[in-house]
Amino acid sequence: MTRAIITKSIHRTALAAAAMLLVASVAVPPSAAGVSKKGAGAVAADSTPFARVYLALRGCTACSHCRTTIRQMVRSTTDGGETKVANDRVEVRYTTPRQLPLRQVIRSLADNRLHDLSVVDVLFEARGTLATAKNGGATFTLDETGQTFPLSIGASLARPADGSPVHLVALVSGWRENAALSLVAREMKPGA
Amino acid sequence: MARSSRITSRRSVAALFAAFTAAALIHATVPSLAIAEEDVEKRLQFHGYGEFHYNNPETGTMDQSATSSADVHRFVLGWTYEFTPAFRLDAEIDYEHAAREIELEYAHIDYDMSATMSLRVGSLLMPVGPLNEFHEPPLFYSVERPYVQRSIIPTTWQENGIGVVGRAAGGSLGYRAYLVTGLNAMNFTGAEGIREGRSGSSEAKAEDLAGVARLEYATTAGLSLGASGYYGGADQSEPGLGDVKVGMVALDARFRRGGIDLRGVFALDFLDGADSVAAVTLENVGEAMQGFYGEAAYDLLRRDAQPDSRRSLFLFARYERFDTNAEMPTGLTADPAFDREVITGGVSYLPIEKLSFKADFEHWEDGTEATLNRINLGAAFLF
Repeated sequence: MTRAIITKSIHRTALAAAAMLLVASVAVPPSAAGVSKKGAGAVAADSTPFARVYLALRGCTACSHCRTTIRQMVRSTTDGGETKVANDRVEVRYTTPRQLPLRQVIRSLADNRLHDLSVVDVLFEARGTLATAKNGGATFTLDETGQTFPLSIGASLARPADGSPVHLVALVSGWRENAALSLVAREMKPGA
Repeated sequence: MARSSRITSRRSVAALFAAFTAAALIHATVPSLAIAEEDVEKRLQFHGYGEFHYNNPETGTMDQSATSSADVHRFVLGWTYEFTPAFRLDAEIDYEHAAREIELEYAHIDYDMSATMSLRVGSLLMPVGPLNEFHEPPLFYSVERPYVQRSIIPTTWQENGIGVVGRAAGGSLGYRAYLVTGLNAMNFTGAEGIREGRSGSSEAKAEDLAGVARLEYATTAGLSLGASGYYGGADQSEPGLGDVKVGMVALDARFRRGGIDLRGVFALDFLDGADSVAAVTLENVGEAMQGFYGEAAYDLLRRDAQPDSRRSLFLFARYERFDTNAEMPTGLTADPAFDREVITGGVSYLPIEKLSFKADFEHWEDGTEATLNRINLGAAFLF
C-alpha cells in the first residue's frame, strides 16, 4: 500500500514537473513586450536599427521600482519601440521604418510627477535623407515615412547632398519649451 | 502491485523525458532565448544606496537612557539581470548597521506580459504608502524616515508573493496588485503595532495570505495622488490566536512645482482579533492604529528651474502624529505613551541629485506629555 502511494506520488510529481517545464517553455513568446519578431538575440546583434531615441536622465534611476516605473511610462508612448533602461539613460529602439512618436516619448518622462527624476538631454539617431527647406535651412526626412524634422548643421560638419541617404545622430531641442521639435546634427554618415 | 508500480514509474520517466524533449525543442526554436554569451555583461547592472547617521538626543522624560550614536545605518547593494528583454531578475541586499543585520530587501522575477504590465513573483516590497518601494535616502529630506511610515505603515515591508505591476492612461496611472504571505500576529506589539509581524521573506508562514494593492495617479501640473490597501489573515494558525485579520488603508498626496514640495500621508490599520492577540502575546495591542503627517519643503537653489544645475538646498518642516493604541479591544486600556507627535525641521543639501547631506531637529511628545529632543546629521547616496 505504502509503495503504491509513493509511486503514485512520484507519478504526480513527474506530471507536475512536465507541465511546469512546458509552461515555462512557452511562456517566452517572441512577441513579448519590447521584443521584436526577430527575437532578442537577433535585435542585440542588429547594430543599425531604423531609429533610436536616447533620454539622458538625472535622479533616481537605480532600483527595480524606479526602473519599472520608467520602463512602463516610456513604453506607454513608444508605439511598439523596444525600451531598454540603463543607469541614467533610456533607449527606445525602432527596428523597422515607422512614424516616430518622438514628442510623446520625451514627454512620458519629462512631464512625469511620479518619480524623482528629470530628463537632461535627448539624442536621436535615424536613417533618412536631407533636403533644403524653403527658408534655406535643412530638413531631415525619415526613410519610408515622410516624417520630417527641421535640422541645424554646424559648420564643423560636412553637409551631404540633398536626397542622399544619411545616418544622422542629433540632439533634440524644443521639448523643454514645449515648442516644435527640431534637431541639431552631431554626426552624419553617408549611406543607410 | 509490483507490476503496477513499475508501469507507473515507467510512465513517470516517459512523461519527464517527453517534457524535457518538448522543452528542448521549444527552447531551440524560440529565438528570444538565443542570447549570445557576449551579451551577458550588458545584461547585468548594479546599483546601490546607503546612509550614515549621527543621532544626538537630549535625555528627556520620554527616554532616560538616550545616548548619542553614529551608525552606518544602511548600505544596500542591488542588481538587475535581464535574461531576455521580457524576463528580469531584480534583487537587493541590505547591510544594516554596518552589516550587523543583513536582510534581503527584495528579490523578484518580472515577466512583461505586455508593454505596460508585468507579472512579478518572489520577495516583494509591499506597495503601501509612498516610501515602501521608493525609499532611497536622498529622496526624503529628513535624516530618519517619517515615523508614520515605520509604526503605522511598516517600511520597508517585504513579503513573498505574486502579482502584477503596470501602468495605464498613457502612463499617468500606475497600479500594483499582489497576493502575498500574511503578517504574523504573534509578533505584534503595543508600541510598534503590526510592524514586527513582517516576515521579511525568511521562511515566511503561509497559513494566511493577504492581498495588497496600490493605485497612483499623476498630473502634469505637479500633483500626484496615491491610495493603498491591504487585507489578510495574520494568525498563521498559531495556537490560541483564533481568527486574526489585518486591514490597512493608506492615502498620500504630493505636489511639486516652482521649488515647492508638499507631501501628506494618512494611514489606518485595523486588527480583528486584537483581544486574543493581546491575551496570547501579553502586548497592549490596539484594534485600530492610525497616523498622518504633512511636510513642506522648498528648494532655495531651484534646481527645477535650471536645467544645467545639479544642486539643491531644501529647507523642510514636518508634523506627524501617530497612535498605535487609537482604539482598544474590550477590557484593554489605551496606553497614552503610544500616542505620539513629532515635529521635525531641517535642511537637506544635494550637491548632485544622488548625494545628500542632512541636518535636522526632532521634537517628540507623547500622550503622557513626556518629551524628547534630538539633533540628527546624515549623509546619503544612491547610484
